[in-house]
Amino acid sequence: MSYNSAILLIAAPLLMAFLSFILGIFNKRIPAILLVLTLSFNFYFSTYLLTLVSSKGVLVSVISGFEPPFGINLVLTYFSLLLLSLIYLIILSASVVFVSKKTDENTVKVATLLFLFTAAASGLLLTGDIFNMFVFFEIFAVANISLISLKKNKTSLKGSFKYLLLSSIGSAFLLFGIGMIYGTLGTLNIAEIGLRFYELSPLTGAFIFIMFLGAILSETETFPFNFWITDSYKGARNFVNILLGSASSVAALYIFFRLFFTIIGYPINNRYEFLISMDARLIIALISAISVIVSEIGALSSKSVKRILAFSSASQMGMILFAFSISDFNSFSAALTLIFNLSLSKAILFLSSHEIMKGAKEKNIESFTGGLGRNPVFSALFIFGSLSMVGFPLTLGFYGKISLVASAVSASGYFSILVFVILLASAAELFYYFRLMHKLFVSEQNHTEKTKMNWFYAASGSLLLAVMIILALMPKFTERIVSSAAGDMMDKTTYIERVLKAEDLK
Amino acid sequence: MILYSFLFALLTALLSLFIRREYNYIRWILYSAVLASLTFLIYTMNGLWGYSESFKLLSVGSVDFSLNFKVTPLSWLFSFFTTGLSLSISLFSIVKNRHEESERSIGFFWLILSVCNIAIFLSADLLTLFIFWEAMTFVSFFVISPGWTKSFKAVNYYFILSILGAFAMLVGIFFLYSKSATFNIESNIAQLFVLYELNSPQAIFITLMFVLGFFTKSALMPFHIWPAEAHSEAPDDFSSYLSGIMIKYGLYGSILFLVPLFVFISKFSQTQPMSNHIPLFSHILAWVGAITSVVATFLAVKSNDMKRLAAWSTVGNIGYAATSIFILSSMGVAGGIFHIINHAIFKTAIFLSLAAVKYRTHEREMHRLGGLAYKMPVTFLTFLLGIIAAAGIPPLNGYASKWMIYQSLLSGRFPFLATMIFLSSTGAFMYLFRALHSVFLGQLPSKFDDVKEVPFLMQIPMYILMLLMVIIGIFPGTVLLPVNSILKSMNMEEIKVTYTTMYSMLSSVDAPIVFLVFAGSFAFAFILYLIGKPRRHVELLDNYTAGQDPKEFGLTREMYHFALKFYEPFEHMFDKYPRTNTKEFYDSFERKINETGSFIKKFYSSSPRSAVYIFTLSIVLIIIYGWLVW
Repeated sequence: MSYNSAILLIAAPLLMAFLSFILGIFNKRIPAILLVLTLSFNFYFSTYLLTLVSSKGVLVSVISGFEPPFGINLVLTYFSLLLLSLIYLIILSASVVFVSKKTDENTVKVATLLFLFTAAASGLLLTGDIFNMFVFFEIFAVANISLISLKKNKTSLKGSFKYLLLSSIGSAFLLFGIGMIYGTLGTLNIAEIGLRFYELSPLTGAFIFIMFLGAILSETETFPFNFWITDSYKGARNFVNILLGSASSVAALYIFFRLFFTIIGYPINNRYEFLISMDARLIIALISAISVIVSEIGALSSKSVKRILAFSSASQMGMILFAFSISDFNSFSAALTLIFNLSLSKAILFLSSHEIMKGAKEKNIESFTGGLGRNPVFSALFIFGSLSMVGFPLTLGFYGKISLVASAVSASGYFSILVFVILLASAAELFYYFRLMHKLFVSEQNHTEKTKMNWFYAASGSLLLAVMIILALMPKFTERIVSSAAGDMMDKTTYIERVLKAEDLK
Repeated sequence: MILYSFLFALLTALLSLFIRREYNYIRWILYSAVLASLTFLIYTMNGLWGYSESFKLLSVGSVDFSLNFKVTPLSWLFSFFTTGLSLSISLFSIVKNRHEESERSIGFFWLILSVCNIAIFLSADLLTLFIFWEAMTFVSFFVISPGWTKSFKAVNYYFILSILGAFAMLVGIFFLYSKSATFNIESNIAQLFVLYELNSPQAIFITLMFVLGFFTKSALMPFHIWPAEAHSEAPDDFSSYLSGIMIKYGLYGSILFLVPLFVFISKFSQTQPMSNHIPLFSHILAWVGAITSVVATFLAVKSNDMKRLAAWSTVGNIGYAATSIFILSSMGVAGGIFHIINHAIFKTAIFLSLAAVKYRTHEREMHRLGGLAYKMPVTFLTFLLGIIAAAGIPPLNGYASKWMIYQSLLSGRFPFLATMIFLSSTGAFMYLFRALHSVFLGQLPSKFDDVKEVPFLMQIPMYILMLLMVIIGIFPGTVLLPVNSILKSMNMEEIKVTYTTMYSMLSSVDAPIVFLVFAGSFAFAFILYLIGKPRRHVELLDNYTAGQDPKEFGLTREMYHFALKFYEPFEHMFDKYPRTNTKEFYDSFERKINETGSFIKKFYSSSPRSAVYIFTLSIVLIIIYGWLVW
């Protein structure tokens, strides 16, 4: 298989989405098994492409013979493939959780939605065309909305409705921005837009910047735009939580990067500046810092575990966006480490907290009481996950947080003040995670009955934990992928060159 | 070697989790064995100054994470004494934890904590220090509150303050790192000194960040409230570790980083404000120490809970040591380090004896105890020697270090600081002897008639500690000669000391002679006791009632035990003065945060319509902001 078959990463899940409907008539297990198989294939193929890209640099896969900037093309960069592999891993673990459920009339539909989710995520991360990105953005949102509403109770419907509203406003903003670009520059190819963005008038540039902000900040769970998070997380089923908290966030961060750095940013002196006349970095940094503070305080006084995890997810996303806003090599490395930490440990946290709370009437922090005695495996998983989340030394979260501080302090001016504020706010995070962990150690009798161990959950959780431990304990490996990806993020020139002269590479 | 021994200890901790509860003594014996081997390992490293180990970890962006360990006289002294003391505490814990609830997690985390403890002292650079500092903070959470609701409430003060301090320190470290591009301690001190000359406010900010990190950990003002909460609610044997060892990290950090910096400034700086020949900053910190010791003393006098009292006493002693360290003279730094070591020993002894009392009586409120001296003689003797040392009475070790602190304060011309220290030292008599009286003397409540001395294994560490107190009291040179090599390694003038005699600018003390004088007077009293008239043993109560039958008045032994509100008249003396309640301040802060949180939470669960409104409004705000800036 060459890199030109990269379209398989999108096509295979789309095909399976249709097939699973037909095959689901015969046996409801078939779609579920197909799901795991497809995701394993996608994961394998994306890591294969990753090795290919790491030796050959950015690759462009041309669809149906139209050379860029015309037609649709897939751009394989190290950064996008790395995040894509991560997303596949998360979806794989989520679908293992999904497979373990009993089949009912919904199984086939949910499997289709998960296929759709996979296809949309692949498309978002691979495409080199901004309108194409919009289309996948919509599909992604549709998949998310339907997945959130699976539970069909009040919170779930409210959450999915909120998500629907906010993400459709967001995609309207995105469409406005894209329309503006197409009207002025006459192209939809991301590389070409990035090359020619400076031709736009300052007012148009600022307008597009605002449009993009409105488009993506809801997806990245940033404070004034993220009012969907608590209800959606609380109302959604467990594997959907894993997808929302980990896979969707990673995809959203990728879109954020492409929109603001590949298109509007330009690299100068080992740092990105923005091609608009106001200080865009400060705006993003301020919004993300406020988002961190608000979500930490919100989580502090929440009682529902899922809500706490939702707020914590928002605060972590704020930290990553803050790292993006510093926008140099070091901060991108920090951001990548934080992304790995967020997606892996958040998935572990959702998974294990669900198992710990199983059997309790009210799913709040009280239902954690005595978890260690009741459910030692998942309690251990939860403890590992939250220790990594709060940055226990020598875990991924620690490396991420420390290097974030390092890059922010060495960047001039306000970043060092903001990072101090963010650090103080993240003391709150420590508090509520340690409160949850404390509840696990409490040995008082409570009325939660002991439930049977679910091996699928354990397998899925330990898969994620293993990846996390490998990343934390294999310095050479992690260093290589993080520095290659950060280098790839900084290298806008190569991206544009490779895409626009795709024929030279054949 | 260092790293492998750490990994070995961690592996033991992990394996010990699989030991069943019935055989839990195996777990604790295993821990003692590990601690003994660690103590031996550190002992063999004596004199290997400059021996270093490095272990590379991840490097993210420009930061190379690595673990660097180095043996210096300072790190050796601290790590040796603390590990030795943890060994003696762990001997105590073998029996103590036999029927303890959640002893499994206590032991597991405690062993990890012991590893972090050694690693903090042996770390060669600021990043390694921070890594183990953070690990220590996180792990100690689970030992102080191993799933107990009451200790969870108490641990929060400790945890949040420590975390905020650690984050402040982190910011300080990276501000320096962005200038010096290294984590090496000496180069960073030099860098900070240069920064003091170039950009004084920034340098003061960075120093302040370090001070916050160290002072929160060592519970100096205004962070002095956590020991009373955390020490009293922690597991009883762990309280001695917490109070004897863990609270010293902040002072260790100060000696490691701040003292060389201030010495540098006082020697070479032309621009920095000085007062009394030391930098003003350092002088202020010395005052913070003195004020802490006075405040803690008054709070100790007020407390009725014996563990709380001992915790306040710890804060007071930390205050003396901090004052002594920050006046920057050789005598002061040596006295500070000596007092830290001595305090570790006698406070461990005090807390272990209190743990022994609680092990037998399950009681912490002092007015419910009393008269245990005859029932638990070894515990009583340990406590007695402990408080004699704590009060600074010769011939025990506390006297030697307090003498040095006074000498350094007087010879450095700090009369007001010396007065404050004298004041709180006198106050120490008040609360320490009150504790002795309320717990061990006076009337034995009838419910404790069957109380026995603790098992022999628990007595062993007490014997060891008593011996240490006496030996260091008679031969202060055993600690002070290593302290001299610390001073030498810090490029400070050495103090004049032999094994037995301490010299200062003003006078000198020959400790064995002091000991002989005291021993002689005791012997004299004992001889008088032997040759005196034959005497008859009566019950304590008979003595109290002067021969009257107490039953006639309906009096019981408990009613004759005057321990509740012991110093009420003394407390009334301060009624007129305004008081601030630091704990109340922190609590109100927490309440405000929680209120804000509820408000935010409510907003998040509001209707979809308002979500859309806020979304639109925020976009409009961003546009307006962009307009204004542009």
